[in-house]
Amino acid sequence: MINSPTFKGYQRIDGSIGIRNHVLIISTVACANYVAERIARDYLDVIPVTHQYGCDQIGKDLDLFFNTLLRISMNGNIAAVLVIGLGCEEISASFLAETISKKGKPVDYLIIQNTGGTSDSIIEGKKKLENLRKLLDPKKSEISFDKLIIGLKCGGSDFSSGIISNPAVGVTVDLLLQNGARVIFGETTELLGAEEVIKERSETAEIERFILKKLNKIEEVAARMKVDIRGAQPSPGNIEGGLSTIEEKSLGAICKIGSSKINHVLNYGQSCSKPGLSFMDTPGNDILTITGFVAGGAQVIIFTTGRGTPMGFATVPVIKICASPRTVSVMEENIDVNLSPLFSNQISLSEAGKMIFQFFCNVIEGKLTKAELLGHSEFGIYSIGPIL
Amino acid sequence: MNLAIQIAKKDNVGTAIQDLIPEQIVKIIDKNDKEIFTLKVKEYIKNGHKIALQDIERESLIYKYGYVIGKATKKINKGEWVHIHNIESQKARGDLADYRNF
Repeated sequence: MINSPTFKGYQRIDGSIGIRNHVLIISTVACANYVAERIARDYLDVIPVTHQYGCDQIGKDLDLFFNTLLRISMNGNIAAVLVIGLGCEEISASFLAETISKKGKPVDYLIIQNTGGTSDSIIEGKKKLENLRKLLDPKKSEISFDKLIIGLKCGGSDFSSGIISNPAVGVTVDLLLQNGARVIFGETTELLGAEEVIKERSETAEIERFILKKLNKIEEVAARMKVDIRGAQPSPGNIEGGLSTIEEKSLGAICKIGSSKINHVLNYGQSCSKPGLSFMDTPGNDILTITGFVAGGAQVIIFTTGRGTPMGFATVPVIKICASPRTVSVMEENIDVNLSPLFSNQISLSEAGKMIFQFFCNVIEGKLTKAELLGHSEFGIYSIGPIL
Repeated sequence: MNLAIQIAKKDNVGTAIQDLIPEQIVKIIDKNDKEIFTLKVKEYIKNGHKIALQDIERESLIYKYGYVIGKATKKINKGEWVHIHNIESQKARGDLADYRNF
């Protein structure tokens, strides 16, 4: 049994744990986006989450869309939810709100077609928001580390990602797991070429089969479309940065997971309910991967970059790690942990891993990341079907 | 002296950690910064790009991290730049006519 250390966080009434304290305003359809965004305006602790979906979706795609909205709302960083709907969409605001409420989270909703036009809906929404804001838990409690779920991501990779940043995060991940935290990695496409590593690291034959099957699906897509995925994977920026093939990119990316076995596997957005290291089947796309992790319960993301990316996420802090001396100087305001001193041997990989861990411990107790300070609030819906 | 890193013993390419200039001698180090050997640079190689640590025949496998990262599309001489002009991926190659085992 691991003796888990503690940190100060938010204990929610539904049992989930937050490291941030937000009211979420979520639209169930693109038509409600503007009203949702206007209601949220003027409040730092109120986060609007909007998207281009919610209409003309069917089957598994519609199910995934609903689950994503629901699970994003249930994330521990969210104290209360206001759902904004238009009134004629497939996932009604009242149904989403009812489901959230049944799971024990404070929620209210508004349907524009029942409330009035844009202006009346904004006024009514602000009234509802005032009531929900009263529910923002004022006090933090001592929370055990094993309640933390951390998502791992790399974006804008170059040679420095695979040689320095990802191995350093690997050291951090070993520390996080030793302390009882749950860690998720994904980016299925970026495992193409790392099959041998997956075989060595999968705790059971079932886990290995699950991951290799997902990889095979990408091979099937390429074969069916009669295309080569080069150009998308690796991207032109990856290639400029020294990465020649998807295999090379993947073998650098997998260094993020450290030295542990892969203990569990999850489908996209599935709740990460067990301790240890989990794989989630996600696309390589940065925002969509993070949406999947946050839907799975992640309260924080550790993100390595080589060429630099400014993105954050609407409801969770994204910690940016970079080792490229050029990127650190050009995009300094976007980088939280600068690992470029490793190139001149000023620090070791194990010191770098501990440095990231220390920064992580500050972030979970409230220190804002660069992306949060800059107001980054990205969000995306992973769509797996046609829009009719 | 210029530096390139050989991540795993099995690797036949190294990663330049400075721009490498033709005719200069590059010191090849391992993951623990220990010098393993030196070789002469044959062409300009940008920081972060790969250098052939030995002569590599056409169609032979390219190793980095101790695993295969692709296949040589032409003969590559020791000290030359290794990138998309002389190696290619073997994964998700739906463009290849014989890529039909899926």
